[in-house]
Amino acid sequence: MGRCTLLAAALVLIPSFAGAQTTREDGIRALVLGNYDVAVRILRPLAENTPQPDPVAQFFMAILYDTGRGVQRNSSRACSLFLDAVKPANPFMEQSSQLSNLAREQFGPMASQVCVSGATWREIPPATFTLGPNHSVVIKDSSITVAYNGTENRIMTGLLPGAVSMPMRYTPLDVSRPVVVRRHFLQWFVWVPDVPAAPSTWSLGWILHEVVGGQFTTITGERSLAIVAGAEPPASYDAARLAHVRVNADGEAEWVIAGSTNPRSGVVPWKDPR
Amino acid sequence: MRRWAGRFVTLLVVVSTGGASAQNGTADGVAALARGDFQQAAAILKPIAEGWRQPDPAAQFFMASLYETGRGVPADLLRACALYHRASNSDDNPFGAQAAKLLRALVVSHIPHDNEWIEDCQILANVGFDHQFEPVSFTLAARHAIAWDLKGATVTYQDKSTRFPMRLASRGTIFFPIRQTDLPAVAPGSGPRHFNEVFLWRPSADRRSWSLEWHLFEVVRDELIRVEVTSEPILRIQAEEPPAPRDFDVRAYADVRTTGNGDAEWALLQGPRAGTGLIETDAERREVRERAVARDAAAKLVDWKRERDSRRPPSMAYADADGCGDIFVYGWSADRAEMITVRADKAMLNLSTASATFDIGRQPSGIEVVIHVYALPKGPGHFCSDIVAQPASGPASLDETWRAVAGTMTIELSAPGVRARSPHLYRATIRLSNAEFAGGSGIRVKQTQPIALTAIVGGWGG
Repeated sequence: MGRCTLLAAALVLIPSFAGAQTTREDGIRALVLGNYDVAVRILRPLAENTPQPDPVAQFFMAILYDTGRGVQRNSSRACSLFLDAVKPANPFMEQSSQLSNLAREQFGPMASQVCVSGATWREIPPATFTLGPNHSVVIKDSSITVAYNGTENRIMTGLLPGAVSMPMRYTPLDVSRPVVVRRHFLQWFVWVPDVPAAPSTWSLGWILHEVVGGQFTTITGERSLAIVAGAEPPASYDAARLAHVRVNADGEAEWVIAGSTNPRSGVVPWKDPR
Repeated sequence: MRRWAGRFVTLLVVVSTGGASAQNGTADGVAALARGDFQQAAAILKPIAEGWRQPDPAAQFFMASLYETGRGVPADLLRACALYHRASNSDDNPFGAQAAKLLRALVVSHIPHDNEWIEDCQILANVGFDHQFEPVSFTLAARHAIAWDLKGATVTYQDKSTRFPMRLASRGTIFFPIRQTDLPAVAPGSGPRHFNEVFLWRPSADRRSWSLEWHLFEVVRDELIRVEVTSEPILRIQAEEPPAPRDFDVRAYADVRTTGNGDAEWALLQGPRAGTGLIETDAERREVRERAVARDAAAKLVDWKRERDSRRPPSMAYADADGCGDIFVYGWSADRAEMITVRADKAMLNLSTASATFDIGRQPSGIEVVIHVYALPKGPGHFCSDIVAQPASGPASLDETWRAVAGTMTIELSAPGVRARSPHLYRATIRLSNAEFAGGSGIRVKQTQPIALTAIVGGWGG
């Protein structure tokens, strides 16, 4: 028993004291031996969001993303990394090429959007919202977790290659119709580049979610509230004027899309959690 | 410090993942591959990937890639396919999952023009890389040959080829070279008999014991006939690895040879199943087969639903006969609605190969001759079978019997040995002359033509 704890402690400590000396080879060895967390900690910085990514590290990270070991499963990211790992020449380029082609076939027409080489991958900014007693939403590591009266509901999500997420916005609304209740909305604004590897314009997308008890539902959304030019999305932007959710004159919850070529609004129907 | 840490990581992983876990050597091999040292990578990964010790999807996946690209080893797409196939069995492993995708792609690229290639890939994956099977061809006579491969044999006879698919190999099977043995001719003027023997080692599931199997075949014209010896292994040994086929004398365990009478026989020379048995001749096989074919054809002509009055007089004409025991012979009419049964106690009547004649009219004890007339045709298995269908009611159960009251019966038995596989069986030839039968109501019928019945008897269900 004591020995096991010691072993586990040793494992956790490795990355911290091995730190500076870890090499790509350590990461590969860890992966082959099934120690996926260590593999990710060593290989990810060599594969992603680095000026000179290592195609070998990209190949192994692609396998981890594809199978969801040590990281959140993400087939878009897996495919893109396989695509990256084809060049420059390396011992795994043939397999990377085959596996990226197979994944692109699976994606079909979506492939050019979801499987791209040279994109920067970003995370959804982490956040925690308290909706009430024993009721919270935690956004972390590409997942949204709704905790409600001791139960947890975890929704996996992720960003398209190159996309930039604004922090998730929590909007509680006290409505009087059809019942008097506090409703909990999450608004998600995302900048999506036209060309993931070399953006010149950015579309602002919006998705409206509601949390009812432990349930997390998607109400509506708009792909393009606005388009702005630039290599980077605007650092700050008044997105709320283009889309929001509010209590209307009748006391109901109502969403409004003011931007886009198709302005519209609608009442969010109330579903009793029971 | 790194070494210390590495050792603990290994310990932990081996403990936690159990089954399809990578070996330390695999990590060395993959690391060598990542460095571009393909020779080293192949040297480490090949034995792990191709062995049976423990499924290692990582070693299998990367060794497959080396075969696919011909790095560190000669390019071999079939071996690559087989290793992807093996790795894909561990689909809960990240490398196993990738292997499954690449295998699918490889298979799809070979469909439909090369299904044989796909089959070869599967065999290699399932049977393994160390089967030692050597494809071989034997020329038996002019325009007569046989060629063996892992999937079966092809017999070529007078320019016509016949394929006999066969799956002798299973996981880990190791083959001896196939043997071709000619035995001298049975009858003057005919050629020698051609036997082919497949010896193989088959491992137990845990690979701690090995069974020696002997599969004996005879090539007869365009046919490959399996000679049934035993379904059991002829030897079982406890060992991690079986003795190498080239160092092991299978002839100390099994042989196919000629008896003093010139018959072909198999012989198990050691072990609990030691013994010998005659091997059917071509003539015997032909007779059995032709008889079966003729019976099937006759059965197809029977109108099984035709119902008749069972009180009709018997036709006393019988198309075929069978038998069992010492001795019981039954014959049946072509329409199957009438049977004649002859019971003759071999011991009591002192029957032998010498012909013996009895006067039925004197009702000798040990002899009973009865005709059964049915309303509906009777299928096979009515007599000489453990299971006799006895309908509870209905016309099928109606049965009028006629007993022999006059005439003579001649019985002649052959020597035992009419069936190589059941040497105690013999042939009974029965002839009834001027037979007269009496029905239940006292009516008599007489058959002036002789009634001849021939059947193989001496056993049950033979």
